[in-house]
Amino acid sequence: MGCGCGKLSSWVGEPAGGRGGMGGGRGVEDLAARYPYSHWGSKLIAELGVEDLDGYTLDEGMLKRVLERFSSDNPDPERVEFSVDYLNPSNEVVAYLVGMGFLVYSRLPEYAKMRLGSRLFNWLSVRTGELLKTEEPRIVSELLSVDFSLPNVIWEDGKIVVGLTDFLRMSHMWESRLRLVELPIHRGKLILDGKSAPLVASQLCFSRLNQILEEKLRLSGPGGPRTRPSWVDALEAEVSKLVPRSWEELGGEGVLPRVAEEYPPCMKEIMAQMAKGLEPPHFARFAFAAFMRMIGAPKEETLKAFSTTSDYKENIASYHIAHIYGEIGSHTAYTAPSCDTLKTARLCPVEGYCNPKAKHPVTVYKINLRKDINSNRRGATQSRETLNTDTKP
Amino acid sequence: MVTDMCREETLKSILSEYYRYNYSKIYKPNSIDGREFGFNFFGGSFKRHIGFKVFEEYVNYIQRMVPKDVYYSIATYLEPTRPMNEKGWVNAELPFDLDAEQLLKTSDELIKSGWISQSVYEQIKQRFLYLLEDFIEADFGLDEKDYMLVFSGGRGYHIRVLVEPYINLDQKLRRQIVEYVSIGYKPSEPIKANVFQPFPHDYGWNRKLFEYIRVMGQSQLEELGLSSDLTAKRVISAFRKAKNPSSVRLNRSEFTSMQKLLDFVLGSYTVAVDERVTVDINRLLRAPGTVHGGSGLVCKAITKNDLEGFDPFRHASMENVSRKRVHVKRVPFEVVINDESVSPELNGKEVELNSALAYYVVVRGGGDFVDEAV
Ligand code: SF4
Repeated sequence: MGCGCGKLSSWVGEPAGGRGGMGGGRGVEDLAARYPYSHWGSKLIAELGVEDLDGYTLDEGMLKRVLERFSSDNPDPERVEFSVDYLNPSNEVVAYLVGMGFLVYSRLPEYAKMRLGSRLFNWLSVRTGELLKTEEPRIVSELLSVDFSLPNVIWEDGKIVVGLTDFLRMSHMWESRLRLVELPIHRGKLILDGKSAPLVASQLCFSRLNQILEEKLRLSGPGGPRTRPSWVDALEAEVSKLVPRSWEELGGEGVLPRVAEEYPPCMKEIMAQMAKGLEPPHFARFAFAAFMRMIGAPKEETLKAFSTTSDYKENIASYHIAHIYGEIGSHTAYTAPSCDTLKTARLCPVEGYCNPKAKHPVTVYKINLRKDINSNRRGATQSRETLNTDTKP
Repeated sequence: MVTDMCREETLKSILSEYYRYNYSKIYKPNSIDGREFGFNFFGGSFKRHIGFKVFEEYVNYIQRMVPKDVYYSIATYLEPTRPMNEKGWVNAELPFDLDAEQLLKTSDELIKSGWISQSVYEQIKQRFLYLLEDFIEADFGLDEKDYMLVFSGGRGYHIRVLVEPYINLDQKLRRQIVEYVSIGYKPSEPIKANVFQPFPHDYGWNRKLFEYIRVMGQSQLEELGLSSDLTAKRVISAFRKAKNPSSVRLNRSEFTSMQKLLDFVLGSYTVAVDERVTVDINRLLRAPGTVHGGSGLVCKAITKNDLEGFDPFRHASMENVSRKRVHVKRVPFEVVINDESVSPELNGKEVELNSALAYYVVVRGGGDFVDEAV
């Protein structure tokens, strides 16, 4: 057992060369450029004095950079090294601050911000995972312990060893692409090698970014952001093109019959969990309520579905639902997330898409319903509808 | 034949006798003043949100009220007697519940109605040991000081993990743990690769799947209808040759064949624990040392050492001295409690039995008390 100092060839093989050379270890600036949300990033941000981006003016280059991160594509693993601006590490930390700041201050509807946030965090965490594949174990250990708050990270027999429960506590496993069943678990520890450590770190990165955003939102005050930087407007105009402005863009609105059997698997799963008295995560509840709104379910029906969760409080649930239905708050009716977003949040229980022609649960439902009706089962459908209303939790 | 009320009174008197002389066997939960207690009474009423400041109060309550079933929360709360959302959750044991019906994936009417034979109990116990050793100890790294093993008094066993940080896990993480134990994992289809590495590392489920496939023999292949499948045999041989999981390499057809083997392995080596029990952080679980009102067997804390030789009928029976006359009607197999047996040959006959056995037979619907004046 040792402290994890020094690169071991058994870890990742001979690391790739390039700027920031691995031989003598990377400098803080390079590390900040690679992991802008990390303590190395914070150090550079402090040195540059750009914490608040006060008086910042967004230029073309930065706009492009941030838009790339808000788009739905993951960084290309082959080109990930080239995505890091080693020449101007400040660009990396500023792009990170702009992205985060945008999520805090933008006036885009909540569903859009959620989608953008999940894309940005996904982008950063996938890139982190890829970059860590060529990193010294010392750096991986440092990131895990300092930035992802894992206590007792140790180096043992060429592996990074972390406590299983520490990892569980720090990562939002429910929202992750990682599952406990896939992890290298042994006697209460995770035994991480050069392949699994980046994966685990990538997951922790995603959780940590969500946590940072939550902290920032909390600091921006309960009544919403107090000072909205001027660069947010310029960015908002461009970024809003990346998300549908309304759910109509996703397929139109109308009161559809509610036939729970025809709901897409993701919604069935959330319903089943609620019916079992479990507590689906906040985002799952949001997705379900928005889905119900989009298919024209009255609020009361949606509320009823929530009433079996073990943490159910009627006043709180009705408040959230009214919010999602656009009756209070910003008066924006929320759109259910798309399949891709649900997949990122690990709320899609199927491999691929349950209907290759559709990328949104409402569209899936409409197609299912159409099939149902087309197969001359209208009568059956209607009687089921009555049943569903009566028996749904 | 007796009336329902009389029967209930007789059953209650048997429990009363047990609690009068065996109060020292009632298990003292830690942080008793933070637990919520629940009681199921003869006559059908259920009371929960009850709290006790000290252990003696709890024992006195049981002796005085003679409840049919006693439960306490796996959670500790700041104010356990308040309504659910005002209790102030502090933490909760991480429980695993193995139940005959779920474990054996059976719809056997006998098992459903609670008639569990000694051999079925033995099967559950072996599965329970497997859960304990291969998952709780080998994977999660817990040992005897970290958990309590309990025979539920009914159809199975509980493991109650008592230590931090497991007691602090939220529902989401508990659900992941259930998935780990009862669903397992199957590597997904390779997208491009011609040579495929099914296991990226050497631990957890990767190790389990690797080890299980290595030891697959002809009989299992036959069971799968693959006894003459050369690809399946090649897969097993590749697994046997590999030093560790991550060094296994397969081509596409071998990978597809491996997946069939994995279905079999996962079906055999996952343990169907009750998800609701593990995930629910406010669950009331049966209190060790109290009697399971639906069987008359005692819910009993046991050590891992005792588990090997544990026989519920011998080691979890009420040690009552009184005797009861029973009209035996439908006993499906021989049941031995306190060295006395009742078997199907006695169906239709009236016999005098020790009250623990009499309780078991009557409450399971295998007979009824005769002329029982309480
Ligand atoms: S593919 Fe889309 S609609 Fe289907 S289950 Fe997944 S998220 Fe739901």
